[in-house]
Amino acid sequence: MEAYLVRLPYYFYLVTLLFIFITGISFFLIASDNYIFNFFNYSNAIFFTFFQAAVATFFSSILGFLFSLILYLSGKSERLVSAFLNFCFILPVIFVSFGIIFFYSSNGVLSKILSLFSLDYDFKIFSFTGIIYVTSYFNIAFNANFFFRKLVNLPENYIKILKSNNITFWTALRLQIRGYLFQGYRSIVILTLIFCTSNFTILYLLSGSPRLVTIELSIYQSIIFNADLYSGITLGIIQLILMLFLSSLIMFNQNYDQSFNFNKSSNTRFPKNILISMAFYAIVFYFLIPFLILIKGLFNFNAQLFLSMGFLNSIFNSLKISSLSVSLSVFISLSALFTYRSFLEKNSKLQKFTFLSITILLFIPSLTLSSVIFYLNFNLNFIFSNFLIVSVINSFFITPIVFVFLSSKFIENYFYESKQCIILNISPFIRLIKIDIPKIKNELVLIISAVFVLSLGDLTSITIFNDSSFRTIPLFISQLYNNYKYDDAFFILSLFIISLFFIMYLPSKFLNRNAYIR
Amino acid sequence: MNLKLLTVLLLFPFQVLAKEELKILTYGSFNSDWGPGPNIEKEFESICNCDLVWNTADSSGALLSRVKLTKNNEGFDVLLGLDDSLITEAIENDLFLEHKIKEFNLDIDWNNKFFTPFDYGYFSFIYDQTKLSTPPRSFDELASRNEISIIIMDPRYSTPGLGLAKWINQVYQNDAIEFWKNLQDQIIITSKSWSDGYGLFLEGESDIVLSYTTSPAYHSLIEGNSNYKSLNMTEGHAVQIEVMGILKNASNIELARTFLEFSLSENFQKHIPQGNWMYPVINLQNSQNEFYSAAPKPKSLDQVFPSFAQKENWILNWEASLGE
Repeated sequence: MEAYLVRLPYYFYLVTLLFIFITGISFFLIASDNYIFNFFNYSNAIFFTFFQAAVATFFSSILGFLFSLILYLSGKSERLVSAFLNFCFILPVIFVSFGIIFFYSSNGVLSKILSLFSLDYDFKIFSFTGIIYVTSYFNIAFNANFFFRKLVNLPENYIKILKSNNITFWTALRLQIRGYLFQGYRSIVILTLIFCTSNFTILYLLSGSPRLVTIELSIYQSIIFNADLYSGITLGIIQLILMLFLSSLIMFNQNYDQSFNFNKSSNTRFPKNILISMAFYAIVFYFLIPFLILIKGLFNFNAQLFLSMGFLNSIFNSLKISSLSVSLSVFISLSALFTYRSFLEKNSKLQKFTFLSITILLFIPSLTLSSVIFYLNFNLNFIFSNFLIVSVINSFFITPIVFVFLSSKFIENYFYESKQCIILNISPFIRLIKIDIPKIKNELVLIISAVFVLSLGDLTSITIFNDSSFRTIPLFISQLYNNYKYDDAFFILSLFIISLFFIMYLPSKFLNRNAYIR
Repeated sequence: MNLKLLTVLLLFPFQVLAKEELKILTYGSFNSDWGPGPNIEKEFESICNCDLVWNTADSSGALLSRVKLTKNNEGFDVLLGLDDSLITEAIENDLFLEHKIKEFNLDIDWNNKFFTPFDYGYFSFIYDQTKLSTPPRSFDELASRNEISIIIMDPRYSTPGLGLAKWINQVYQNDAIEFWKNLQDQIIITSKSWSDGYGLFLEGESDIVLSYTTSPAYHSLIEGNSNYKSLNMTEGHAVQIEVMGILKNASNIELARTFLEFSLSENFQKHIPQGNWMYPVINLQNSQNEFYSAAPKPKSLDQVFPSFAQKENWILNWEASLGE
């Protein structure tokens, strides 16, 4: 009975998801007589979605790998490097996009520096270049973190043996380490491709050309401008099918998550190398480029705006939404992990269903999901408040991330633990509270802070579900932008990023204070 | 004490104090802290003994899309901010109620039984006079000066983008595709939204940007920067009129009518020039002289209320010029 109680949030989630799917499908069936969907009108968008994602994935993989090697060989604090890469990965898209524009635009920092040397500057950070640059920015950080964590887990003795045998690290990398580094990498490539496919905001801000349209942009146009929910849902289903096809490679490969954790701190030291040091600072500079916009933002300090009710109200709403979203996603994830593990223990094939039921949310375009929920709420005579809907939608998108991040640690030693629990007559609830949660405490704290930040920066569902008293910080920034107040928008954006930094930083301080380093 | 009497006494003050609600659907920037919405709300609530409740959508196009999808089952009373290009489509979808608001002494010609105009503007291109010393004076000159780079907005996503498509079709009619083709090489960015395109222009990405004749007024009056100017095209400028109407399924039609009447008063209109950065529909030259000086009105083209098919045709003309 207790086991069912622990599984209840997951079952509740399944029912909600089912309800939303039924709503989408029923609309699809009812409305099909009134709408015409011409697949060929969207073939270009479908092709471009996966083409740009493939190119961005290619650059992310290559550069992520190279960056990780340099970061590793630099010998800098691995926790710091890893936290930095994590932070870059979860930065809000609008921040990175505006930061890149601020640096590379015709009046930007780079142009001004070059003009000091009387050099011409005619680089354009828009269209395909901009899309690939910004999409890759996040995914280079993601890929570099994967390889970096693998590298720091190389045993110290192994490095010592290499040294004592006069084998260079590069030779070992070519002959031996490469195989270890790329073990389980297929899953990371697929995840990268999925992230690169879902880059709606980047396309919206940087495409700069009417030809560069993705499936998500077409969904946006269909729903927001053409009132064509039918095409929006159809395109969402097409994206879902294509993504599921790609993700099927992950689902049968359970190594997807091994790289998220440090197994052991190696503290390996390599001899100082000036080239590695220079490359290290170049990489740090590359990742810090968007942060230069903070200077512009803070120079435009506006006390009146900072103390305005609109701003304070937006902060309050953002915090409320993120708190509820994160709470919901943690409950669902823990419950789903518990269910997933119990299926593993029984060697049941339902484990794959559990995994799919959670990760499927990664593949559904946010706008399609938001629109179906809007349609559902409309049919229910708008019984759900905007706050609840936005929180639930946000929680749906962060739940797979929490689930995947925690899964390897959660199921660690599951077979042995399961036997011990039976022998010692430990109930499922006690197992979750007294064994599982303490075991994953560190990962839980880290992922909660990360998804809290992700949820704070979301600007998708709130554009549909808002009213005069319900705005979030990203919407507040967007409204400043729409009212010619670009400098004020950069000021608020800067404050926002600084707060995100503290939200990410405080949990790691907490973990360090507890000196719980595995 | 009698229980019924006690209940009545307890409820009485709340019944008296309970205010009627007027639910308005508008676009986000109208009701932002810097838009005219909050001041208009104060003015109207001071005379109506009611609560004005705002709901917002992304843009003018998104407003119509939303009420089309829901048939206004959300129960909004007034839709505020519809672009004149969408009026015919809105009427064809049978979403609005006729009203009999008297529209006297307007600055524009207006005769529509479904909609009341509340502001208007002219599409234009904005340039920085310190960078472009001899601005083009006509579309032909603009297209012939290949050195001038332009940012426009995608007409499928943006109201000003659609406005430019309308403007070019008004000027060139059957030769619109040819003109678009001539202009294409100079268009370096086609942004999805006005704010992104305008922001990129301010970052120096182009020489001119599609916006409104009123944009320089913002820079001049708020930032004290008079370098930004609007092109003055000899062919004339396409006009954009923003309107409001009473939605079917409105829960408070009388209050909605009162609001529409109020929208034509000075107490509403005075918040438009430096709140929404558009021209008010009643002449406020005396009280808002600095605004009119900073945003002089250009030669106007005729008003157009396109059907859905005409609008599609404008977009097709633009798409045809893009080539394969």
